[in-house]
Amino acid sequence: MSFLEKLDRLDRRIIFLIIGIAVFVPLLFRVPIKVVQSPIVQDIYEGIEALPEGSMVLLSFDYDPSTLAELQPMSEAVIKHCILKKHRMVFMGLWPQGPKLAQGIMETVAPQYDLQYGVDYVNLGYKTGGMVVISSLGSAITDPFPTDMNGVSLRNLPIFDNVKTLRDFDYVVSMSAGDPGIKHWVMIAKDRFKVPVGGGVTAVSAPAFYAYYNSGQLEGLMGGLRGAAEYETLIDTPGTASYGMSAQNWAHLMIILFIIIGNTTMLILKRKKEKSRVR
Amino acid sequence: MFWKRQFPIMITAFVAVVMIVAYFIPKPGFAGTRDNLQQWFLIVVTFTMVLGLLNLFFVSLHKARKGRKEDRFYNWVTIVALLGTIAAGFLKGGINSPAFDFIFNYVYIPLSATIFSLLAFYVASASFRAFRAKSVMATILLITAFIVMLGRVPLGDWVTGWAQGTSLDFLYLPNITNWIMEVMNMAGQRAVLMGAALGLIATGIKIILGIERSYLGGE
Repeated sequence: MSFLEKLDRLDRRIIFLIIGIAVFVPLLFRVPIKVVQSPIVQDIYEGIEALPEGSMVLLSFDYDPSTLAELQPMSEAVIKHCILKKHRMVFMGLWPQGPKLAQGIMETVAPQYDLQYGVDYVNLGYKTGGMVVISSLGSAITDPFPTDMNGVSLRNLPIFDNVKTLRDFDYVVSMSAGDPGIKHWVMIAKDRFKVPVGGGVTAVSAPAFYAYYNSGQLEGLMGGLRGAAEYETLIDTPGTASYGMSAQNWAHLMIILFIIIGNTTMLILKRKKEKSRVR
Repeated sequence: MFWKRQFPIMITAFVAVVMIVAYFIPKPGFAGTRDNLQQWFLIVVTFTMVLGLLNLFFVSLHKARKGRKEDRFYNWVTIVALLGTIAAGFLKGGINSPAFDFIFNYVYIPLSATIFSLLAFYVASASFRAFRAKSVMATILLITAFIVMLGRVPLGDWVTGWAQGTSLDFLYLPNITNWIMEVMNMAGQRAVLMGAALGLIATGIKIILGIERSYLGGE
């Protein structure tokens, strides 16, 4: 077997090893990378930036830990932005694991910025029902969520003093890994209740949401780790995504090299076969 | 037969019509009925979670006892994990109890994230073996993927940064990537979305009229 034939049938374990090194080594050095801003991320940043101090932002954690690597840095960046702008935040989840992930972030962030639960932020928890939950929020927040995640009545939480329905929110951010998710927030919160909706999705699903962005139904969108890194750059707070971009950079480079090698060997072997046939 | 077929169809048609009317006529009378139906939906859906749990438990138990010998162990793992997590949730503090937190933060999150991360390795392997320019269409796809992959990471900026802001700005990879995403991709996605929406409306009408009955189960 010639070298090219060996290369064409390269053991996938070698590919796994190369990708492993390409991802692992840059993560060890933790070099933050500033990325070029795209208008779609800039728009969600500007939407939150333009809100007056004390605005109500609803953050829906519509994902589970499987997409944590991509979506959690986005959530952290948006939360930090809201804190810096002194917005009040209400967390909830259309996925069961979502509110717990929000809680994980707030356990670290709230003491740093001296935030008070029930005044500056609150976690409503999870409610099953997807789109109907959002629709129900439009009638009264207490319909789907009579209490917060800890069982405290919303009437006893000062943050809800002047907030009764979804219409009373100034912005909705959905971090979404699928169904139910950002699409349903657009359909109900934006289209029906006219509340601006922005958010973040995984890189593989981002292309499906450009149509909503272009039509103005979606204020802005972060797609994958890159989107999160852009947002971190915008708020000038490098985090997990900015450090992770270095690993993603090398992983993409390796995949591109694999594609080039794969195609080059295929073409050369094909020509060799054709030549031998002619002879 | 009436209770199994016609009656559920009548309920479905009534609820669907009420919801549609309430959407287009947001007056208190309609809105009140809509709100009540939404509340009912949330209550019913909550019970489906319990059904799902029971189903998982009994299916796993059956497989653990009578399934393929080599798979039995995994079914026992499912049952123990299920019961263990439920038990942790019922401890003092509920889902904020230290035991539940431990399972969520140190078992569930790492396992779940690891499984999904494995995709990177399979994508790399597949890109080497399957992403090949065997036809004109495959070559177009390959070139597009190539540009987007480069444009989505800082490498694209480093390689073509010299073109940014000059008369050759169109060669700047992040710009080309944005154009591909916002023009070519969006046109395709919009067509898919509209097709799906029309299909959804057609299916909805068929369900309301009782033509589509597969959701009732049976034949």
